[in-house]
Amino acid sequence: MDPYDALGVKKTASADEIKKAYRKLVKECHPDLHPGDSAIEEKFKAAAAAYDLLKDPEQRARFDRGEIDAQGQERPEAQFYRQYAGAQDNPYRDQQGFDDFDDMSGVFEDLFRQQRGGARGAGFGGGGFGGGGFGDGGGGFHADGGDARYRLEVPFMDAALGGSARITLPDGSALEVQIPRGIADGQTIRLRGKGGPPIGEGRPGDALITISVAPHKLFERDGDTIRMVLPITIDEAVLGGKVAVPTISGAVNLTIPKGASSGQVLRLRGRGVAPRGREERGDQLVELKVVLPPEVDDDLAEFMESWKQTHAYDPRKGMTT
Amino acid sequence: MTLVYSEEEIIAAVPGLDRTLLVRFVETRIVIPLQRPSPPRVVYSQIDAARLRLACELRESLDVNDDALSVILDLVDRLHGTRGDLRAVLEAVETLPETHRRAVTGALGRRLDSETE
Repeated sequence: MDPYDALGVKKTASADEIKKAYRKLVKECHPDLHPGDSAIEEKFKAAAAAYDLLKDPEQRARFDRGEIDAQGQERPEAQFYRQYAGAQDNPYRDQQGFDDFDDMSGVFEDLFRQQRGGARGAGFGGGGFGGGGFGDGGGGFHADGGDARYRLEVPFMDAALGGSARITLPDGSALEVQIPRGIADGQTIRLRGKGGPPIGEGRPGDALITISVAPHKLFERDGDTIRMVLPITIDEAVLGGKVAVPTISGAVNLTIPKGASSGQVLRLRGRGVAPRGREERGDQLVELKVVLPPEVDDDLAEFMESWKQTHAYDPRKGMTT
Repeated sequence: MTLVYSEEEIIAAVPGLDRTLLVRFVETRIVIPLQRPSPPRVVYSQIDAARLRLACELRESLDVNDDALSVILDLVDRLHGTRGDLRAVLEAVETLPETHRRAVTGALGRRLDSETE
């Protein structure tokens, strides 16, 4: 597409006119400011590419002389913010409150607040702009300090079992944070009084720390359930037996049933994560994975060879497409 | 595994972003880096890259100052957040039995109608 057409300007347009045209298109067509309107995205992309080319007088002159074409000016596949912004785990979106939903049954408000992942009990609040309560006692000007937001990654085990971590404040000092047991990815810890300073006799703001749980090499977490894949040998799969399985609180013995297959899931009750405010722990789900020896020796091959002569079976029976 | 960027990498990835600007965006909480322990460092994720790209575009093309930028991004977050919630509600309604679904869409239709009058 001709860059002048993309911006809707004449070839003789001044730099100022080009900038003006582009601004107008940003206002009207920026996909992040117009969610849900897919038609404008192409228009904006073309305008942005055109502007990139024409805003630089040298490039523009070269284009006008036909030395370069409009291609090659394509922006790398743009990652628009809207691709992330609406996601439930967008760490920037829990700043909104639903205080104005009070006239509703409260069900929705509670629901949304919970989904927003406030660490219940640790306190959770909206107010992206920070508290601005103006008190006039004493005649001076008073205002509460604003909330300060942080994002902190915590090791998987600390999130499951509790622990402590440090965050670095903007002034370079560190703040100790207690990680409550069972905290989940995306939940927020509120540290009262650790936010922005107040004005006059207001209260200091809070520090709001959104937690991101680091992945673990063995475990995966799904709420208070822990999942893992457990490799077993063919003899354990055929004969069954007891094997030691790692859990978040040390190894426990698990009985593999006789004739186990890959994909079979066994449950270790009470070996998962204890959610906040509850003593009982969730379960650990163990998915079995039969692993052959590193080398299939003659003994094994010969045995299988003779075994299959008389014991053929078809696990793919009924798999017609 | 989600893609993360170091400070250098995000500056290289976002057109129009330089170190001074990044420091300012972090100070004004336009973007909040993820603090990682051992060794202590900060990283940025893909959502941060997309957010910084939007911030830079708004700043460059509309001459928006930092305060206005904060307000715009806050509103954009609210807008997208609300749309996300709305989608969740609609998806939940989709899973209801036919009769319930009709009741919900009917009640919703009447409300939306009366509000536009």
